[in-house]
Amino acid sequence: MSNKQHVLTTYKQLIRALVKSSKRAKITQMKEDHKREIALLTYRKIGLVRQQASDPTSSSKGQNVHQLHDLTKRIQMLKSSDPSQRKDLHFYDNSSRLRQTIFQDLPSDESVLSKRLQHLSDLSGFVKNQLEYEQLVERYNPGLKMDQEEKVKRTAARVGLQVPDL
Amino acid sequence: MFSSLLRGSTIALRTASARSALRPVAAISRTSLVSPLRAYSTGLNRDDISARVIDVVKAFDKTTASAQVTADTHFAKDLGLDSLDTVELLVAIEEEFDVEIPDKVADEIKSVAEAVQYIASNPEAN
Repeated sequence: MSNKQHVLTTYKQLIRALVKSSKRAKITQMKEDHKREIALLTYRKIGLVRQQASDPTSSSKGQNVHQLHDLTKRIQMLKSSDPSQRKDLHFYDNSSRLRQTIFQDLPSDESVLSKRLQHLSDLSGFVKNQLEYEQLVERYNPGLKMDQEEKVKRTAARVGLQVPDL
Repeated sequence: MFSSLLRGSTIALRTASARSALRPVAAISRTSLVSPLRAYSTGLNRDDISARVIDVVKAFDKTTASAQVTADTHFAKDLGLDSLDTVELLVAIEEEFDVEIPDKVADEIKSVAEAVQYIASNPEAN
């Protein structure tokens, strides 16, 4: 019983660390994807509008209007949705594989088992500390994750200039 | 005569500096007396909590009958979760409310209602 309890506690630690560390990366990834999709949809929309303008007597006008409406709706939806609010971020994706690797040959011997569990909790400690380390590095070096545009803007602002709006 | 005058002035300076050093201490103690408590946001009501917990349970892809998650769903009996699944679900609930459920308490939580009960009793949940 206490063995089982111990295993569960260790598993919980591991899952907690993994969820916490994967969450940030996932949110960034999703935001990036969102941006890309919005750009793509906007591009398509512009294409449609151009096509309509160049060929006003087209037979598929009604269809075009419908498509345009659809695209606008999807862009609106993407813009209003916030990926950090999603509930599936709270779960670890690969848990079935993780379980397989952990539990397929769980040793029955007491000392070997405790060694294995110690190893697993070391792993979760590593994941947790690595996350913290990354956050600190990022906080102390704000330029690391800035994109080029932002960097140029701030560099110009430092000497009292402004980048022109294009 | 001149030296005594100087000495007097240094004493005056010293008392003045001592007084000015004392003053901010007094000011700090007064302000800390005004609001000794920190104001936590207590905007969580029970319906909100239970709706959010249910959403989290629904988002869990191992739940078998995710359509009928209600406030008194039992994790093991109704959803067919084993102990490891329950652990994952509890971690997800922890993440949702930004708390850490201690292991002893977490062992007792076996249904949505119990999770809601714990979150409602935890002042740090948000």
